[in-house]
Amino acid sequence: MNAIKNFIEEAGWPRILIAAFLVLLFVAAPFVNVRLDASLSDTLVRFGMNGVMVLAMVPMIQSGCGLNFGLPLGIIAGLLGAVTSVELGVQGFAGVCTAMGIALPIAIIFGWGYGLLLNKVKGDEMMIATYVGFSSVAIMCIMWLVLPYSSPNMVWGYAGQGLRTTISVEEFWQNAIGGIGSFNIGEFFYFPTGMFVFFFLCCGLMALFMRTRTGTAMTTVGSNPEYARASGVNIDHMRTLSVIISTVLGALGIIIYQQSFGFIQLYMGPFYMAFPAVAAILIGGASVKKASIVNVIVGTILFQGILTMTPSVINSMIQTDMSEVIRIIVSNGMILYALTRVTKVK
Amino acid sequence: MSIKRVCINLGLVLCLAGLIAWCVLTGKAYDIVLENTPTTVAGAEQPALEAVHVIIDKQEPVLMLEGDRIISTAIGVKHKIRIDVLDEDDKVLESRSHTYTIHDLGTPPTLNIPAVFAASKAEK
Amino acid sequence: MNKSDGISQFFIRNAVPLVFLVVSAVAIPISQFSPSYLIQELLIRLSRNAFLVLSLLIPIMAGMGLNFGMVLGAMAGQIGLIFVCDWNIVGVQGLLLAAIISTPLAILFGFLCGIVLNKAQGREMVTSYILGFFMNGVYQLVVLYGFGSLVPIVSAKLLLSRGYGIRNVTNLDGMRRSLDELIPLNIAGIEIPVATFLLIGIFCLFVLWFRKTKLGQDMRATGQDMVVARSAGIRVMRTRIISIVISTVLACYGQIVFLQNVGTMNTYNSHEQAGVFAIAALLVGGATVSRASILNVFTGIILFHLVFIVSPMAGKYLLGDAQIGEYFRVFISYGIIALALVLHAWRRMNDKERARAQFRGAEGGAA
Repeated sequence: MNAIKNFIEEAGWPRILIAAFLVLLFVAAPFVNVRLDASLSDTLVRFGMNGVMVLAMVPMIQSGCGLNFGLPLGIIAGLLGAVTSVELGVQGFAGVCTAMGIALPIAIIFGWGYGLLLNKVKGDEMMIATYVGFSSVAIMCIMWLVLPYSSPNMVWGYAGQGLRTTISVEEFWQNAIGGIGSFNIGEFFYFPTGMFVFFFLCCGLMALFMRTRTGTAMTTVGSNPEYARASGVNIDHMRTLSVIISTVLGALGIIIYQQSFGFIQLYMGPFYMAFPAVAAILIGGASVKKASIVNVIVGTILFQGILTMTPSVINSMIQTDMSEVIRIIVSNGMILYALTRVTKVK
Repeated sequence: MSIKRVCINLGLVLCLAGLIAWCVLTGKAYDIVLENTPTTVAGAEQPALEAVHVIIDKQEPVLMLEGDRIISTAIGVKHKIRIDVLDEDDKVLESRSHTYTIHDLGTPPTLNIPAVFAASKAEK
Repeated sequence: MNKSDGISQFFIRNAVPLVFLVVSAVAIPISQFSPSYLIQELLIRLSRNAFLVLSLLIPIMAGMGLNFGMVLGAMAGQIGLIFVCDWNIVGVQGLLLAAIISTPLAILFGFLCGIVLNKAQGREMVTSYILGFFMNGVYQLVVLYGFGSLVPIVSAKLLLSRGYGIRNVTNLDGMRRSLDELIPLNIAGIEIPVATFLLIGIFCLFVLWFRKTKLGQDMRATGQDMVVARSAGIRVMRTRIISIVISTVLACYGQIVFLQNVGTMNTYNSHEQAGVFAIAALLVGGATVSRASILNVFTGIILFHLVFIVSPMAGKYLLGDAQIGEYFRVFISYGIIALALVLHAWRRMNDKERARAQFRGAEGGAA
């Protein structure tokens, strides 16, 4: 009995409710003629698509910068890489690598500037991050119109300039990573091996990094800044580093997302992309101050599972698509829960 | 809570209720069916009018020819309707007014122009 | 503090309004709008937005920062308007009834918001912001699925074709501009919405009066230092909740005034926009997260909307593309909030540093 109590205490009610809801959806699925293997496959694909972006939350939470609502900044770096790679016309695996290669330095520069900014505003990071993300998306809206891209696959047909809102990567590098070693079981179950390998590679590197001297120093900065200062760690330096890693992961994450999704979404596309990632890691058990790789994996499965299952199951049950509303309530409810809980513990 | 406070609160609640009632009574808009078709009033046959301007309250006049049925709106409960009978040059021959409340008109609220015309004649 | 320090302090303090002044000074001639058109537009926007922006003042006074939770009030106002539309009550009476219906709802929302924010001290802004999103989900759940099925809606015009849920656009034709045109006044071809401005004036007086009341004083004390306020016997938590409730109720009325001017309501978007634009406008006026006055409200609305009106046309003439101007508008509304938040946080850190330096200096002098 006590063990159960402890477990509930540990996991928190919202998390248990969400997990229970997901289990319920999976149980209900066969009764309303939703194919279990297809839904499971969808969940896995979306897990692979979003995992890296959720992982991007970890370094900043660990270094005490809070939830990275400024993820769109990293996403923009990724978009720039992706668009440039399409402009160059590189195809297949090389195309994705080009996109990542171009996105990487951009993300590092963005992350560095963003990190310096966040060091100036300690204590207010989250709100400012949100608006830094929003305003960078807005300024990039102008940039997408102005930047001198000219590939006919990407610009508006009639004007001959200005990028389209969605750009298909089908001819270039759709599934270039996800398709590596992927296999089907039966007609409906598809397993994107490549995406999983990439995601777990990132997770592994992150876990290794967290064990290095720099990694532990970063965690110390987040959990006990006074101690970190006393032991001679440069706090600002560590924070900036964490922001750079987070931004880079955001950039890589969106490229992985696009190569599976098949489209590059520009303009207001990345506007709200931070929120699902934030919600996912919180659902996975992270708090505003502490996050681990396990949180990322669990959270992404739970959150993406709900996002995949609610439209199909609820839709066949009551003939209306409530998934959008459920997504809003679950993700923001979770963020709200995390934000209000921290101070109580403190 | 003292008696005085109860009284004040009660007064406020009454004021609010009054305000709501005022809003609903004077602000509710009704769709009224206006018809210019032949009808019988108290056994007497009333032919449709050839051409009339119908003016409800202070709204714009609506031109109605013989046999027309239109839907108009009226705001509030009590209304004054004016009927201007027109000649061939659109000059007003005869003007009559009539007041009614929305509840007199049944559901859906319907106004038969010849009937109103006849009724207001009887009043004169 | 020496003189040059004073000047730089002035520029830092008023950086945001000054930037906007410069931007609009450059953009107005380029846009080629006539002065009378600009004045008319500005008057409309002033009457439309002043109420919403004013509703932000009281939580700032109570030290709770920018109340992003004002969208909750806007939602309450919209629910009131939906009912009034359904009952087909038009004119000022309709607006009044909408306000009466939505008041209890707004009080409830404000109360909930206050409780949540009390649990998230020190991060009120981000919490109220997320709360806005969360309640947006709840609002959609209720309005998109509950209205017409659980909540009776008579008029089929309002409902989606499937029989429940309110349409994306609710037409407020019956109430359109009814408050603005209650007392008509036309000077040199420029229409002035007298009644709306009267209402705004009354409300400004209310804010001024409220600051002098016991409750208002309590709020300012709470805003300055919660610990001191508590030791002075002020019920801090209660005071904070009240400030949010007042703000939410006023935002609710503000949204009703706003929508009667616009004349159509985007059932699922109008409230979101209300929050961003009101906050951006207030910050443009030179308000900060911890200090805002009525003057900030009006200068802010004028400057912000001036840039807002002229930027698409200026963009078109300057760069040959109106779309760029559109995106520029979006950018400034978010960018300005980011900038103001950064400046505020920066200043606060600087003040802390300076206080520490002074403290050290005093110590050194004594030794």
